[in-house]
Amino acid sequence: MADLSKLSEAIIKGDQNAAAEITKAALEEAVEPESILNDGLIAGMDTIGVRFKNNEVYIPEVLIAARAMKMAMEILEPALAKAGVKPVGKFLIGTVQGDLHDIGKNLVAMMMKGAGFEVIDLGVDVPPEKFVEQAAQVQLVGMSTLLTTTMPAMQKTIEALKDAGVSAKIMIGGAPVTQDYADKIGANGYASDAASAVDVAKSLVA
Amino acid sequence: MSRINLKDRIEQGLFLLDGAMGTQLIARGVEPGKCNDFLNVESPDVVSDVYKAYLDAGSDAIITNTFGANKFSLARHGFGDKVDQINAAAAKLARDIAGEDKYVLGGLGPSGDFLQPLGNLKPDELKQAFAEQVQTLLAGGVDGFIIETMTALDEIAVVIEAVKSVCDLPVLASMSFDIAGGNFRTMMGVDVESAVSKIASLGVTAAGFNCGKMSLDEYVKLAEKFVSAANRQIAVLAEPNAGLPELVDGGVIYNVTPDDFAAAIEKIHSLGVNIIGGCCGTTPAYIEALAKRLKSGGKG
Repeated sequence: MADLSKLSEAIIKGDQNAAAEITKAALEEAVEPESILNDGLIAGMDTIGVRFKNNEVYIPEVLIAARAMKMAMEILEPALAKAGVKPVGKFLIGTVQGDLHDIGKNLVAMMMKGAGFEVIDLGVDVPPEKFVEQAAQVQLVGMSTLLTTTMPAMQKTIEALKDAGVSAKIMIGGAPVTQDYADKIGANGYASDAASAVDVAKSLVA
Repeated sequence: MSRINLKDRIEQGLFLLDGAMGTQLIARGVEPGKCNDFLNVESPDVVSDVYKAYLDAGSDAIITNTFGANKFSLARHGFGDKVDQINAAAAKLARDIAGEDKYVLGGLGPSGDFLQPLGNLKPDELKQAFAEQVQTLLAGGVDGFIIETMTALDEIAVVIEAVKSVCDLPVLASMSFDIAGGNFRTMMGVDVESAVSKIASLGVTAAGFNCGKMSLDEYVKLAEKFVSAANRQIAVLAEPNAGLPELVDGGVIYNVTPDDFAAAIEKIHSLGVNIIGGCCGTTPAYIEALAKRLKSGGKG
C-alpha cells in the first residue's frame, strides 16, 4: 500500500525521484487521485510553507520542494482531470508594469500551486490591461513588485481592475509593500512572504 | 592632488561611497521602469549629473551605473547584446567626472537568476558573463569593483572569481540582509558569519551589507554582527537604506532625515566600519550630512 506520508516526506526533502515513484505506485494501487494530491503533495508543501514562515527553511528548500511537487503533478494531473478533481481556485499573478523582477512572483506561484490552486502566470512587466484581460476567469489576482518606484503601478492596476468591474479578489506583495499600502490602494489582501500568500488566498476564497 | 591607489586609500580610514542611483535618475525625469544601465548610452548627461551631485556632497568614490549591466539582467530589457557598449560608456562617464582625484568603483549586481541546481545558470556561464562586464569596466579606467545586493553565496563567489580572473584590483563584496527569525539572513538564508567567512576566504578587500528591509537601529545591529564576524581580518562596508519606505500621496518616501541617517552611520563608523555609503532612499543630501558629520574632525 502506497504510503502518502512518505510522499509528503519526499516533497519536504525535495526528493523528486521518490516523489514521482510514490505517486506512480499510488496510482497503480488505485489510491484516489484527490487523496494523493491532498494527503501527499499538498500536505508536504504545507509543511514547507510553515517552516518557511518560521524561518526554519529558506528559498533554496522551497525551490527544491516545489520542483519535486511539479514532477509528481505531471504524473498525477491526467488522473486528477479524469476524476474531475477541481482546483481550490484559480489565481492570476504577475509582476506589475515597469518591474522585471520575477523571483518573488515565482515563489508565490509555486506556493499557490503547492496549495492546490490553478495558477495563470502573466510574467513580469505586466500592464494593467493585461491583468484586466485575464482577470474575469479567476477568483484571485496577485500582484508583485520589488521596486519602490513601481509600487504606484499596483494602484493603477487595481483601479483598472475595478473600472473594468472585475469581481476577483486582489492581493499584493513584494519587498517594499506593506499592509498599510494594501489598505490604501484598495487591495483585499497583503502577504509578507510566499507562504503567507497561501493563507491570505485561502481566506479570500473561503 | 592625484589619488593614491585604492587599496592604500581604504587602509587610511573613512572612505565615503555614493548613495542611490535609480531614484536620482527618476528625480531627473527618467521614467520608472526604464533600463537604468542603458541611460549611460542614451542619456549620459543625466547620469553624470547624479555623479556630480554625489561628488559635490562629499563622496570619495562613485559607483558606475552598471548594477544591472550583466548579460542576464540586460537581456530582460532586450539589451543582452549591449554589455560592452553600456559598460564602456558607464566607465568613461564616471571616470571623466571623477577625474584624477576621486575614485570609481565598477558596480556589479546579481544576475537575477539562480545557479544550478536551484536554477538554470551554470557557474562557468555566469563567471564568463561577469568577466566580460569586468573587462569592459576595467578598460574604462575603474579603480576597483563593488559587488552589491547579492543573496546567494554561490553566486557572489562566482562573481568574485570572475573579477579575480581579469584583474587584481580591490573588490568590495556586499550582500543584502533582512531580519528572519530574530537573526539577519539573506533571502537565500545566508547568515552573517557564513557570508563573512566565505567572502573573506576569496581574498577580497571588504565584506559588507547593502539594501535590505530594516530600520536604522537594525542596520547598526547588523553592522555590529559584521564587525564581530570580520574580526579585523577583513574590512567591513555598509550601505544601508534610508530606513523603511512609506507611501504618501501615490509616491514613495523615506521618512528618515539625512541627519537621522548620519547619526546612525556615525554609530556604524564608530564600530570600525570605514567604507560607507547609502542604498535605497538616500540622496546627495544624505551623503552630505554624512560627510559633514564624519569628516569634520579628521582628514577628508
